[in-house]
Amino acid sequence: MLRNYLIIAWRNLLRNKLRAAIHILGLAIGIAACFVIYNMLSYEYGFNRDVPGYDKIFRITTVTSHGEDRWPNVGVPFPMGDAVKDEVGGVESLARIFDNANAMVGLAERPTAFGRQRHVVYTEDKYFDIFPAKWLGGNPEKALNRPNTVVLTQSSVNKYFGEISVQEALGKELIYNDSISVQVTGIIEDIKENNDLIYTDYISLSTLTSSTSARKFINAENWDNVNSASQLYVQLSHPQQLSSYETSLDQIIDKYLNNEEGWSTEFFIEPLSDLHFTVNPNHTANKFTLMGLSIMAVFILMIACMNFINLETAQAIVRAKEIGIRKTLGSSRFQLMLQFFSETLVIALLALMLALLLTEFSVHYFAEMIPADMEINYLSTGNILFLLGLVVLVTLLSAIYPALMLTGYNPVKAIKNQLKDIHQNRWGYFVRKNLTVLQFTLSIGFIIGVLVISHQLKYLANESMGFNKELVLYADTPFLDESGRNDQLKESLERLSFVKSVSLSGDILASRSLFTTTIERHKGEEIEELGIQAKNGDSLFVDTYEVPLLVGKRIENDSTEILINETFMKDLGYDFPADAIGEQLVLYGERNVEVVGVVKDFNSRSLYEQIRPLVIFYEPEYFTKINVKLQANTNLQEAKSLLDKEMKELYPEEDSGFRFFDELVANFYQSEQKLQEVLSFATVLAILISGMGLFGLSAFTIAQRTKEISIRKVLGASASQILVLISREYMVLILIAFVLAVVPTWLLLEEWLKQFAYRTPMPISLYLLAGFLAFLLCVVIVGLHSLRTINRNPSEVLKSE
Amino acid sequence: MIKLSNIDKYVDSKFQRVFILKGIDLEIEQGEFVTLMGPSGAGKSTLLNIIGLLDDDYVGDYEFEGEMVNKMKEKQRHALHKKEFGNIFQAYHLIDELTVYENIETPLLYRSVSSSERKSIVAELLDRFNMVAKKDLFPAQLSGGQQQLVGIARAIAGKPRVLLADEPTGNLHSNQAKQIMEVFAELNREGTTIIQATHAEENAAYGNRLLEIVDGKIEEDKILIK
Repeated sequence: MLRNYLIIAWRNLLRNKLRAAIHILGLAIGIAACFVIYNMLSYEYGFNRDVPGYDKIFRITTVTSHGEDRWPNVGVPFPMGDAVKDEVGGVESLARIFDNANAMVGLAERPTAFGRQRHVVYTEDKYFDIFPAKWLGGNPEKALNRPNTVVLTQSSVNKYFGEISVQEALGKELIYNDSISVQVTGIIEDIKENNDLIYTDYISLSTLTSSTSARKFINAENWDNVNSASQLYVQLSHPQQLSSYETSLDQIIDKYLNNEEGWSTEFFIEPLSDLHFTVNPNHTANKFTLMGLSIMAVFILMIACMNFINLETAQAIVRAKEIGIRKTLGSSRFQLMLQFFSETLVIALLALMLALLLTEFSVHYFAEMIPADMEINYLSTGNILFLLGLVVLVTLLSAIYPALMLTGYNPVKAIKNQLKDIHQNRWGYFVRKNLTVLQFTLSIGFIIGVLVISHQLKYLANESMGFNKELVLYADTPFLDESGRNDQLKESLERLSFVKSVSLSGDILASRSLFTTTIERHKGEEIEELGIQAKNGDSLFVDTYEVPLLVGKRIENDSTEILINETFMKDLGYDFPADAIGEQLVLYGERNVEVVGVVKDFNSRSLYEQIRPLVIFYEPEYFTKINVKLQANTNLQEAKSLLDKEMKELYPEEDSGFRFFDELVANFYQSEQKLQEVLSFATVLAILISGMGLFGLSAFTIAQRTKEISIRKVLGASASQILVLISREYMVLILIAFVLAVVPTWLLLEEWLKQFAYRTPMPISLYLLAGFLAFLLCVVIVGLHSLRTINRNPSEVLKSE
Repeated sequence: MIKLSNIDKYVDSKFQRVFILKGIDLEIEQGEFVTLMGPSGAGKSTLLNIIGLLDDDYVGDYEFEGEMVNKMKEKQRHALHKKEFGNIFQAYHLIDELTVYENIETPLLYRSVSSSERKSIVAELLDRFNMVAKKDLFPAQLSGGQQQLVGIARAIAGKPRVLLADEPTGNLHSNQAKQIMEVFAELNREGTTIIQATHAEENAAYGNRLLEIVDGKIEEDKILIK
């Protein structure tokens, strides 16, 4: 029986090659999209899963708010660790870490440096209770319990000391950040890639807490300062009762934090399962993006299924005869449905094979949209089940309606071709129309999405950020460098003819990082505390980036002078820049500073965010960046290599070199660009599949109307009149689809645009353009078919009828 | 075997009820070869469809072997149709996508006949109708007469007791038509009850009973003696 079904399925495919190709290609694209996205989802959601006690591990995070502004931070004030240990019950284990990404590492014996290592962290023994590692050497209990010790992963050991045994490596010395000397006391296996905490070097936290200068740097006693590097991980004994833990945290706030008027701090308990989607040393994934991708993949598959239903029901009359015969031969309705399902299954299985090819192709072609470490294991149980499940689902979804409709025919009428007027068929026509509308609604929605997102990105690129990003390069300099090499480098760069200005600073003018603090204004006895963003830079900092100085002078490399921006000027209560000059403020509660100038507002972060009140101050000890503005008409690559050469002479251990500032700024919108790329791709697929569907459907309906067209021609209708006649019904469908597509896309895009502080108004013209494009597509597809029929000689057609 | 009492079949249009069959009383015994004759639209095909259980939209009683067909459930009727009836059509209605062999095999599949038995039945039929060499051809590769032979082979593959033929020779040349009718006569001699609808006078001669149908009524019921 099944063999008979499959034979006829196969012969039907061969007989209708166009229809089969449309079905298989469409479903294959849909299945491939779903398959890739499914793998992305299981990859991203699979992070940290193999940590024992996955459900019991949490990170405490902080949100500081002032009025409407919220400043979330994955770190906590450093003293928080001790406070939680002492005052919160039900904590099985607790580990503080201080993340030191990009730490400089060198050997103690020889002046050999390994450049910056990305995953260096300060932490304590308890860390390995929460995140167990496989120990190859050293004592897990004691390895980190005294200052100046380090636990290394196997790969770090090999990197620093070459292929030596564990015993040889233990006891070796390393220098971190040019100043911290540590001894290797433990060696662990490398952390697996599907973990977020992929540190390679673990220095004992007491190394920091035992040094006075380091204590100041990490704000060891300060409750007001939140640094995202200072994090707190806990393993809870009752993870189901998070609210009781939150109550305890609130008590800590009441006890230790005396928030100023209008300011408030909250602590949150973030489960380990969220870590991958917030901030972590490995890459982070965006839940919103993943959800969007999933929806897109499902839509594409749905469009493909709709195609199937459309074409199959359109073909119903052709198939009806066979169904009728089979019924008179004794087939039950159930057997007929089974036959139809097995036919669809054959198509779905062929589509699956093609889908696997497409997947392989897309994984290579769209490598940058897929997480770098992700690999698709086609033979994993999960994937096999998913694919089989998907094939069954696609088969059921696609086949159930045509199967019900076709097998419901009265056999007598079906055989005699008397189906044209019966009820079921009109219903089929109705469904078909609606599915076409739905397909085009989705396609038009995709087109609008791509157009609007591109429009916003263009807007962002053209929006002035308030500084000149061209001809600026920057590089890292060693942290807490006491040798004065920074100044030496600055001087030697200034001597280069193509250099316009050189500035040392704590951060570049616009970056992803954000340093916020408060500044005090003393009015007699009363102290007013104001929230600010702070940048540390020398006198040429604003010149290098061409930020206009509205009034006053630059900082004369004097730590009592500060520059402020217009926003902060308004916060201080001044309407005119000149009035703010001479304002006396207190930084860090100890340093008296005076406003010497006001700069025009500029965006120091991406255009997602409003400009914050900003203070530029001078603190040369913490300079870690060197910024260079080039003369106009300089050859950029040549200039970069000369700058790198100067840098290398002074800092042989630095290997990153100079980077272009404008590239960094462009990178702010990387995720948007990615979204745009993915959406464009999805749009092409959606249009392709819908187009194929319309192609097949119109081929069929026009073929049915061949006689009518010929008669009209004989009666004197012109080609264009017939074209209008045929296209008209499709035009109406496109128009309905357009109307249906507009509202949801409008709402969705409005939501997306809202996250930008600087956004384009909703471009109505692009909506119309999208509608017009769909319209055009439809005219071309239907028109091509119509023309072929119109051009046939009517006498030929009518003779054969 | 078959007993129809007061069968009416009509369609209701807006203003009037149009009768296709009216007051049909008919009894057919096993082994009869009945010919229904009459002009187009007289109701021959409709009557055949009602007898063959393909049409259940009528008023009146239909008894098959003493069982009331019009009181049966869909499932029973379907089972009865499958067991007792074979259909032959004017336009042959072979399945275009299947070969001669597969077409003949199809009704056996629906009757859950085992694979080896299917093979022997189909082989026997191919042999009987001299079509062994053509078993792998598709319907489109056969002449009309050959297609109708396949149609007959298919109809009798399930060993039905009643064969219903609607204008079986309508699309055939006279020579081919003769061949088909001889096959019918032979099947009838072997015991199969045959009911055919036809326009052609000469076809009636093969049967032993002739029903003249005009305007949905049986005008004449003749026994033919050879």
